[in-house]
Amino acid sequence: MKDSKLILIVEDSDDDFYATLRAFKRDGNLSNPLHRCEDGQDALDYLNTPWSDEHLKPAIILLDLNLPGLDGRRVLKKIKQDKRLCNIPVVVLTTSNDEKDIEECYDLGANTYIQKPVKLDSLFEAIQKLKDYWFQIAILPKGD
Amino acid sequence: MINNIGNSSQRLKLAVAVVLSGVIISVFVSVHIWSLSIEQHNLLIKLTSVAKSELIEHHFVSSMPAIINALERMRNRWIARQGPPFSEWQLDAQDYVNDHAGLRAVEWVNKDYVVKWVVPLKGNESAVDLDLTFEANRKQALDQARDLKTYTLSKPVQLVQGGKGFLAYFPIFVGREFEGFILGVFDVSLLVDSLLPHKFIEDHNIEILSGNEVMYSKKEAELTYDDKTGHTHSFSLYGVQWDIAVWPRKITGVTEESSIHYVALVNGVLISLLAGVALFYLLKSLISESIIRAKDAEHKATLENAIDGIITLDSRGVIRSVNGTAEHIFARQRGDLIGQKLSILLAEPFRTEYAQCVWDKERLNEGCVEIGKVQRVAGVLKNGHVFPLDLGITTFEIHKAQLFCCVVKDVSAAVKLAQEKEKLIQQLSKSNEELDNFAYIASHDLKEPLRAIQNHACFLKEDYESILGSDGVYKLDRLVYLGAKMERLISDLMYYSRLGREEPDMARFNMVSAVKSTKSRLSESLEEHNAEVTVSGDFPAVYGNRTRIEELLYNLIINGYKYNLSDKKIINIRFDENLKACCVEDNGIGIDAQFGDEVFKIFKRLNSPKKFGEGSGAGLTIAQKIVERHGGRIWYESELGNGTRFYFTLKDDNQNNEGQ
Repeated sequence: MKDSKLILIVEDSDDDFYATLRAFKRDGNLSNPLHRCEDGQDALDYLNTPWSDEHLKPAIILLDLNLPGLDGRRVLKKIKQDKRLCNIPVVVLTTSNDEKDIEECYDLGANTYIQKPVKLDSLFEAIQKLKDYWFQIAILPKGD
Repeated sequence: MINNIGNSSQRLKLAVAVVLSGVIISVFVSVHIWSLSIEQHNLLIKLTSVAKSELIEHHFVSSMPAIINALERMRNRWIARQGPPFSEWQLDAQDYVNDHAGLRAVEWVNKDYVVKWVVPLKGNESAVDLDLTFEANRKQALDQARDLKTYTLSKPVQLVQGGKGFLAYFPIFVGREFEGFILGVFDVSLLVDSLLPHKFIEDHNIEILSGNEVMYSKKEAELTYDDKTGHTHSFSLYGVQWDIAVWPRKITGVTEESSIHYVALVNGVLISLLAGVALFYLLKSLISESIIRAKDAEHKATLENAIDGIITLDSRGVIRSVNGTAEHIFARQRGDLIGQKLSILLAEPFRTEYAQCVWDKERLNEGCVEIGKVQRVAGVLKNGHVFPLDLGITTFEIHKAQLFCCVVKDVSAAVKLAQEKEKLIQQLSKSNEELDNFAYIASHDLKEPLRAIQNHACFLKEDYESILGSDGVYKLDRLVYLGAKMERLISDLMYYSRLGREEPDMARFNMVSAVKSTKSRLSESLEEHNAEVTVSGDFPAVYGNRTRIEELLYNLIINGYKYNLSDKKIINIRFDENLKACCVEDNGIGIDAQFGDEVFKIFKRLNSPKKFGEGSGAGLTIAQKIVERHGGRIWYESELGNGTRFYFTLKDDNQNNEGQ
């Protein structure tokens, strides 16, 4: 059964996206559709387009902070200020472990803040747990 | 000038001394004159006494021979008449007694020394038939006169008739027949009283002595003899020694006159004092005038040469005076400025503001001027050059007129300096910020490709392990390991850079509990290294960022067991009361003194990683940074093989208290 819970990944780095994607597919059964936006503007464009079967509303957004142009913090702010988007859980996935960033993201309404693990194994583990939590344990709002 | 002022008090002292000594001398002279005058007065009285005593002597000496002659004549007549009848003798004797006042009686004493005839009888009854041998003195004189056949004067005797006197015996020999004596009774009192006029005696005491016998005394008890005013005259008459003492009877005369002396004395003293006081005030005013002049000159010179310009304004805000410095600041002569408004020295907008000021103490503050405060305004020169000027205005009252004192200072140089400084600070903080951002961004951006390299190495290994073989796998592992190592270096660099940028939240906390948290964070590692962390003694409350302080402890504790070859590695944490510093001491390998502060250099490692395990070499650098961010200092004491003691202090406790 094809799951319609779309994962939106906002990640500028091809390498990081590849690593994340690999982590998602590691257990071999990623049933969710996955969409990647390469920068902040790209993400907002996707999110501001009316939903349809071809253009699914994301069930969860994985957001990198350091993006070219419009950076992750501003994207987060716009999502959480938009009534149409604010109920989508946003997981901040970034290399930064700066306390200021962490605080700012939670203040802006981030649902989770994860520092990208340095080691690949840890990344795999973190993504696995994230997948388990958000798609197995947590109950997400119904898509429109 | 200054010396004049400096000496003024000395001069005043000198004046006081001169005046005082003048007064003292003057009073002394007055007293001396007074005593001299009293002495003179006494001398005058004494001279009177001398004159009187001499007069008495004169009378004595002049009247006695007459009496002696008279008695001698009586005797001669007896001899001539060969014993005259009593009536004839009586008449004769009565004449003599009448003529000579001192002669109390004339008597005929028979050859048996018995008084037979007495003239006058009245008053001398007791002498009749008196046997003169009753008394040795008389008998001796009679014997002597009879034997020597010449008249003899007795020594002073108590007369049987009363009173004191002496007797003159004239032996009568008719042929060879002794017929007794003609005896004259001298009464000293009678003699003296007759000699001296009443007035003469009235105001003087008189005492006549013969030997020690008081022969005559006429004195009042209230004043005893005093050699200063009295006189004792001594003379000898017919072999008898006489002393006549004369001295003034009353002091009334003396006191009456001496009150004049006292008045003179008091007058003299008073005049001296008054003159002294007057002189003192005169001198004082002269001296203070010279002091005022000197001070005035000093004040003028001080004002003239003050560092700041000084301009005084009258109650309408018009310039009254300008000092040299103000002339210099505005490049104008005072003659050019006096009488003008202060506002002409200021540039707009201050010129208008100050021109509109109401120069009144109460109302001045309504406008732009604030009394007693220095304000930054702009001055203007005649050529239009505008410059920053500090202007402070104070007000004071002289003779009920409100005046203003303006202190002006050209602050062009200071303003320029401040601007340059501000510019430098801005540049510096900008470059610091850029540096921080650079370190952060650079290290962040470095990390991403690094991680990608590692990841791809992992993917390569996962996907193509069988093709690569063991050698290829080893090299890929090595790639991952080196990437991880570089990542750790970058992380430490990032952390270090962040420590410099952030302003940590400060709070008061307990050091022991911070040590406990750090210990539990390290518990696994401690167990693995067979290390123990102990805490000894008490700690004062610490003020700082607890998270950072725990990181500081974390780094120092790790350092303590990592470079440690003891079986049981012990890290003790205590507060050193003497150094007022926290101490983290270990029983590790110690640090060679030659390294000094190098241990705190970032990425500096003193030992091979193979021997003591991996580390980026940033631990102590981070520790140092944390301490410095807390306003403290970190240092160590160590000896190779004997462990190391790291000490650190945090911000001064007093400041902490104020901060809370």
